[in-house]
Amino acid sequence: MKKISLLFVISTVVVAGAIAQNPKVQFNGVARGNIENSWLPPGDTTNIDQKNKGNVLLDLGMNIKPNEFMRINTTLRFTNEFGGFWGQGAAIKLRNISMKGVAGKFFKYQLGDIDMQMTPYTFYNSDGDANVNEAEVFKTMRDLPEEENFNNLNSWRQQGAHVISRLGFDKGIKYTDIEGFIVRNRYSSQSLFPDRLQAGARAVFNITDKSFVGFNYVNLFDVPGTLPRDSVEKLQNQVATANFNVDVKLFYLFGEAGYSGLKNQDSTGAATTDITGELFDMGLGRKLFNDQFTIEASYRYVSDDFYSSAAQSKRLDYTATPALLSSVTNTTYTRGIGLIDILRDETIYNQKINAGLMAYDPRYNNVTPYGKATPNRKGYTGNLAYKDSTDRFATGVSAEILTDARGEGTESLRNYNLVRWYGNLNIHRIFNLKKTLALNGGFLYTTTTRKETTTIKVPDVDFKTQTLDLGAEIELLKRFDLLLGTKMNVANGLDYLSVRDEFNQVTDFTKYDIDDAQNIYSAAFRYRFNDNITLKLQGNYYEYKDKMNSANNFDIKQVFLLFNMRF
Amino acid sequence: MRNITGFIFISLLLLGCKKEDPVGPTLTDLYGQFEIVEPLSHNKPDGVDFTKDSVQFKGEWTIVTPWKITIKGKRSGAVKTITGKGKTLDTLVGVWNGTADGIFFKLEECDVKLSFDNQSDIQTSSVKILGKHDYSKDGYIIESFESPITLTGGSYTTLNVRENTLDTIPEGEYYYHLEGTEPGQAATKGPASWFIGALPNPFKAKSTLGKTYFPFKDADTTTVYINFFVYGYGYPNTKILISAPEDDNGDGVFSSTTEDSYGYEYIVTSAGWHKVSIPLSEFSHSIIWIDDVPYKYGNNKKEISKMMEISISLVSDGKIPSPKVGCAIDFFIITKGKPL
Repeated sequence: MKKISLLFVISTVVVAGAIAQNPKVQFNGVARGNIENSWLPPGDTTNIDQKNKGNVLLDLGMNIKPNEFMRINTTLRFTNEFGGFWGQGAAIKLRNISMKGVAGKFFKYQLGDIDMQMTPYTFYNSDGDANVNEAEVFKTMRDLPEEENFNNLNSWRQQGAHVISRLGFDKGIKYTDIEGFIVRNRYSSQSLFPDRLQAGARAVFNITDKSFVGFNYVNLFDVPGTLPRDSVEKLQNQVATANFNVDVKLFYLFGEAGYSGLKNQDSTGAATTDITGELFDMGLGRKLFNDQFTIEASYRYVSDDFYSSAAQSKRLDYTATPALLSSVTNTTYTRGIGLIDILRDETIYNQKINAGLMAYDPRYNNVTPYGKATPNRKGYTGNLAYKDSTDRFATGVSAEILTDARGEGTESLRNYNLVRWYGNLNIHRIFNLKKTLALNGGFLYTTTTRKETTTIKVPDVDFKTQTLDLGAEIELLKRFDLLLGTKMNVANGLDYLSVRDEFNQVTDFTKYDIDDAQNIYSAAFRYRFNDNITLKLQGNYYEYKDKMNSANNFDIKQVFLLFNMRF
Repeated sequence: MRNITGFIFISLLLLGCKKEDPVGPTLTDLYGQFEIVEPLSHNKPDGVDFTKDSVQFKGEWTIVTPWKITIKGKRSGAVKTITGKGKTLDTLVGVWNGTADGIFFKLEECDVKLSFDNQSDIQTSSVKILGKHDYSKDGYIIESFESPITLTGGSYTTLNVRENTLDTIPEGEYYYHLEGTEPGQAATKGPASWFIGALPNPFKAKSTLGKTYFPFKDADTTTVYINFFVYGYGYPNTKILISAPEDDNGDGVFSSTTEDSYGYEYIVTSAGWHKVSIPLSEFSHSIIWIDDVPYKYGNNKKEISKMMEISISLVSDGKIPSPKVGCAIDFFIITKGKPL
């Protein structure tokens, strides 16, 4: 065996940059002011008709460099709710704190608040619902609750420790990234339940810049010793996968395969639950025309008992009550989470990784509600995407043709179809206009069907959803934009949704029979002082129509002024 | 390498193709169309003697749904309700042992009705009772009033008679009717009651069971019940007083000045027959008033394992004058584990 010399490579660009700079404390942050008024239609004589709110906040970030090998990041939030002047509504909170650095030029570490992300089947925060290439006017709305809840791309904000090391090689493998982490998922509560931790590790062998083979492991587990009594109750959810992306002649192969285990033992130590599941996802792709055109096809199988808490937890908590005008119509019913809440309401967002499958709203995606890690799915996926090299236009279409991997309540399997299209057209680039003129759109269509057979004496499953996003960005004057957008969601049909216990076992089915539509229309004037400072005046009109019971129809109008500054 | 890759690929595909039983409950059981598969019937078409038998109802339908069997005696008006959830009656839940929700069944024909939640289908049948349920197997019968008996009366007792004149009688053919007057009393400290009548002798463990104490455990205080039927005539201020002294020192003799006694006052309010079940856990320490001074004797611990006897009397609320107080009573029984 030839001798392989090892090179220890430090990949912390910021640290290297900091060494060159010298100042020990640097400040950055976000300042934001918001005034908002929302109201129900005049015909609603029963509920609170209007809601006004506003606040000013400052997130003051400090990057402290006590030495060349270490950095401390912290953000203090100063906030004042309008109506709480003279300090009565003011609050100062610690928003995040973390320490990071390099140890012995061997590994990089981070303690405190960390953003963790691995693969879509192991540790992944799937994209938010009801977003099919939405308009700029909606993106800037959604950015706020996602920022409030630390939704940084597809990572989960956790608290714990993370270490990473990179090993370089002379031959064969270009370099290997090895990382490990441990975070606290839940604090023990008196004598009720123990601490819950989550740990994981990953090793990625990078053969070339694009080809790699990776091994991933995540384990969510209870620590019974953190209870003040002799308890051995313990939940454990392990997931281990191997993934790869390898260039093979003109194509590239990609895939991931692995298993999951969910175990629980009761207070006597007896195993009450011991479930294993498996997955594999394999495909190939090709890039053409200088990587502008991508075509991919894949097949995946995710068993019905594949449970991966950090990949299947959802960004939204659909059991929450909306904060905005939750009681509507003269029947004073409490409305469910709608499009306007997904875009604006930070209180319905979830920051926690849940051991059990969370509730989802079938109207937005009944096919893959938990992303690629949705259990009990098998089938084919195809993607076509084109992006012009000069960013004049981009478009793509993807389709998923899936079925249940295992029948639910019946031997027959559901058939799932999903078609997604998106398109961006930067007209100003096509015609070399000085001012921005851009259009974008997206469409998502899903169907869920299961036909009655001789073994089924229940109505067919036939559920369809459509989500449409359209938007325009028009620069009227220099740095003064008109943003327009519309988002529509229509859902109708019948399905039977699983009711699961705390160990994800299906215990019942609820009939889900719906025929409704939601629309939100938005228009905004935005002035960009520069790339980091904006002032926006926006109006939203949101309407909900229940075609099975028109007494549930309502609409909400909203106007808000938002000042946002990053420094 | 190519062969290995192909083998792995095919293996994984086969893994994805294996057929497994569906997960969760059967959808047809939950949301299928409701149809009667087997109509309501039972295993005693010629009648049932509940002293030695029970009735097993039968029936089957297509979906899991809550069901209810209602049995009503044509002569007594007694009612028994049996409920469950499932697709069939042919289980232990669909068994009737002759007991009733309220007043008891007699030797009579009973109408049986089977109904379902959210379904309009109703199935009917009938059962003939040839032998009544033997309640002596369910507990310790204190008094049923079927044999001639005269209760002890007092100065203000105006009626003290064993009767059978009411349209319905909870158990058997007789009940007991007590009435009196309430002269009222000047304001004084503590409660005051006027004695109207009582069972002539306390129900003693020694005479009925041959033991010093009733076979109760202290841990079962919440699941030992005194049960009886009472008929209110609408008279106010009528109370049934139940007393249960305890032999704290275990000498086999109760001393009222040194040992516990627990009691319960049941205030008769509504008109008509009512079944009453009182757990011993709701009995409170008896207070003895001497010269307007309350006294609580004993170790102040409820120990039903040391209960020797139970006394039952009818009293009135002494503070409010009433021209009439009284009620009818029937079938006193102590049960363990559950109420009558």
